[in-house]
Amino acid sequence: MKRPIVVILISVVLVSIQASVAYDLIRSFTTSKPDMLLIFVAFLAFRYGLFEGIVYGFFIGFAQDIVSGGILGINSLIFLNIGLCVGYFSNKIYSKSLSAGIILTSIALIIKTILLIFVSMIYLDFDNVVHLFKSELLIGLPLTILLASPMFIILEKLSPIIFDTNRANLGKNISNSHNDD
Amino acid sequence: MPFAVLLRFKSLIAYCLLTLFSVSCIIFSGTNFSLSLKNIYMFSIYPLQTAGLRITRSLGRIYENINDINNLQEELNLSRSRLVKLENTMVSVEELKRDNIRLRKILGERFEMDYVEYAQVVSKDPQNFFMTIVVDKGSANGIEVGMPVIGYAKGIKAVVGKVIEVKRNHSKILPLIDQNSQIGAMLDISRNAGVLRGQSIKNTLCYLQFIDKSIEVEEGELVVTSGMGGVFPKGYVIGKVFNVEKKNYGLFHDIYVEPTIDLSSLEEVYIIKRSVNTEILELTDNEGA
Repeated sequence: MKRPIVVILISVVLVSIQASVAYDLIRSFTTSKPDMLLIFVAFLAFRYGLFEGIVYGFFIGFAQDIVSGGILGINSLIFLNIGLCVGYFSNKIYSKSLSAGIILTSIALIIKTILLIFVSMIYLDFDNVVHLFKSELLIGLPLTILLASPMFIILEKLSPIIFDTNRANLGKNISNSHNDD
Repeated sequence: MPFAVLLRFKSLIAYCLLTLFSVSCIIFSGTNFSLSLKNIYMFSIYPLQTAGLRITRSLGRIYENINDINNLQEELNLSRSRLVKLENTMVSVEELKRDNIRLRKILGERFEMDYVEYAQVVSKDPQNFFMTIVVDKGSANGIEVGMPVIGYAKGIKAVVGKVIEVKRNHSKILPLIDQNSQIGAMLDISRNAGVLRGQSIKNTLCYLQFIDKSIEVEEGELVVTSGMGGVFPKGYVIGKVFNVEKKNYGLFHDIYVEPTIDLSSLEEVYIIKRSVNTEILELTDNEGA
């Protein structure tokens, strides 16, 4: 029970930061802002596998849906699929290095952009979809990759203390996620 | 044995169930079901954001106070001398105010005073998809849906948007650049009225519709609220004409307006506490129908 509580608390803090006025200033300079929640979901899916990637992805996306004031369900669907994809690739890649995590985060952002465009085509006109594509991929991707390295290092250092009750548990989780395939 | 099967396919089952839930939420978005789900979360997240904002600002103020401590004595002396002057001025201002009200009554002019509520922006959309703003004042402070919201830019009072959702201690604002926003606006020089609409997430310019082609419109001309529509009081600055597209066809100009308020750096707003004139809104709706 320890890990879900810590994940929820960190998610609430990250959602609060990402929805804050100060963090939004980045968007006013660059038209897009780095997605800390995406990095967090990618980290969880990368480290703990498919199942936890899906579940945490859903809840983090759902939290964003409620704060955003937009259509409830869009972000939860997108982040759920990000958790699924990163979790799936994470089980296939046996390297748990920082660079592998960052590559998977980049893939996660590309998946997010594609899903966002797919969903937004229903609600927005073509010009907005093109703008979304440009800002997320050309500006959002480099910014998110820049932020991913320090965030991965911090989360990796903290995870034995805050996420894992012990090492055996982590091994069990990894073997469970391999069995899921 | 069935439990073992469930465990084996738990990721697949979780994925299917959560996808189904998300899709249902998208389908039922805007219904009471999704609104009550939002309320549950709002109770936990917005107070946290408000607290975070206040702590940050308090820390900032402490830092500023330490920096300013050397100048305090000098400023205190200056302030004391100014205070004496201001006290004298206050007496004359009070007299002038009384005279003003009396004269207005004599002239028979309708004299209305708008009361405003100061509010701080506590949240903006965490992704790059929607444009709503959340402020730290709600129904407990007398805020109602439809109340106009203004802000200050370079000392000028200008329109920010209107309240679209109110909770006990927080309200949601629809900014004027949102594509769902419509405001009754008019050109300051020619006094021709039209409707100002937001455009899209990529564009901070607004589009002013229904201005007759025969009217001369110049770039840089001020656009103000027309007071029509029952939401915004008349005469509040919206922005300046950014571009006028001259066309050989159609009845109206294509006018693009640059809002005075920069929404990306907006930190505080003022909500005008005036109830929306429902009679006007009903009549406008009937006309539209």
